[in-house]
Amino acid sequence: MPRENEDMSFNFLIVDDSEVMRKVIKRVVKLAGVDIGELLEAENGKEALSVLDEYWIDIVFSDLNMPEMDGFELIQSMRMDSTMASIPVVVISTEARQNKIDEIMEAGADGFLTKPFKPEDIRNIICETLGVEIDERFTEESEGSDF
Amino acid sequence: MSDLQKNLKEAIFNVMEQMFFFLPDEETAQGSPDIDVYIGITGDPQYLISLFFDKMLAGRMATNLLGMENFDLDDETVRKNLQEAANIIGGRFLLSFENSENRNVTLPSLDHSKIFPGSSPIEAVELTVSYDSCPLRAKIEVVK
Repeated sequence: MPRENEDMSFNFLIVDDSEVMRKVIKRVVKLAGVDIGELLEAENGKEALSVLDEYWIDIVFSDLNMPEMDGFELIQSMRMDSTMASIPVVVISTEARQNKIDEIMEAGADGFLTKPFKPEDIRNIICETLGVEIDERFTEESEGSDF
Repeated sequence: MSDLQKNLKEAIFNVMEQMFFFLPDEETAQGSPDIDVYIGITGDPQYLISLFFDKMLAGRMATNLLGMENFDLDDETVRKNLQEAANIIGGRFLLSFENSENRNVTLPSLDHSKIFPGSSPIEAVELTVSYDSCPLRAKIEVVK
C-alpha cells in the first residue's frame, strides 16, 4: 500500500492478542514524542497482514505468542511479500532467552524488546528503526517508569 | 523453599515491581484472594502456574498499568490485565530453565482446565506474598 501523504507523521501497527498490552503500547507510543499518523491494532498475525494490505505502515510492533498466526509466522510472511518485506518489525514479547531472540532476529525482526519494558526503550527503538530524532516532548512522568 | 518456589517468587517480584510499580510487603497479609488466573509451561514435565489475586490489588494493578482511574475500570479489563500479568510472570519464570530445554509458555486463561486439558497434578508447591496488605497466592503444579 503506497503512502498517501508526504508529511512526517508515522503510521504504527500494534499486533498483540492482549487488549491490555495493545493499550499499554499505544499509550507509550503516544508519549514517545513522534508524530503519529495512524495507530492501528491487530489481534494476531493474520489480522496484521490484512491491515498491512490496506494501509501504509511505517513500523510494526508485534507480540510473538498469539493464536491463529504468531509473530514469528507474521515476520516470515512479511519478509516473503515484496510489498511488506522492508517494513520494520519490532518484537515485544515475554520471551527473554537469548537463543530464541537470535532466532527471531534471524527470521527478519528489526528489533526486540522484552516485557516488561521501559517507555524510553520504545522511544529509542522508534528513533533507531525510523531514523528520526525525537524532541523532548517525552514527558517527565514517563521517564524512569517501566511497563 | 524449593527452587521452583524461589524462581516463581522472583518472577512475581520482578513483574509486580517493573510493570505495576508494587514492592512486596514485609509481612504477608492474610485472606483468600478472589480472582484466579492460570498459565502453563510446556515441556517435560509440564508446569501449571495458578495465581490468585485479591480483587483490590487487581484493581490497583490495572490502574497503574493503564493509567486509568479506578472508577473507569470494569471487571473484564481487570481480568484481562491479570491474564497479561500471568503471561509476563510465566515468561520471567521460563528464564529459570536451561535454554536447551524446549519449553514455552501457553496462553494465559481464567480457566485452569484450558491450559493442559485432561491433565492431572502430580505434585504442587505454593507460596503467598502480599502487596499493599493484599495477599497474592501462587501455586505451581507438575502435571501429566
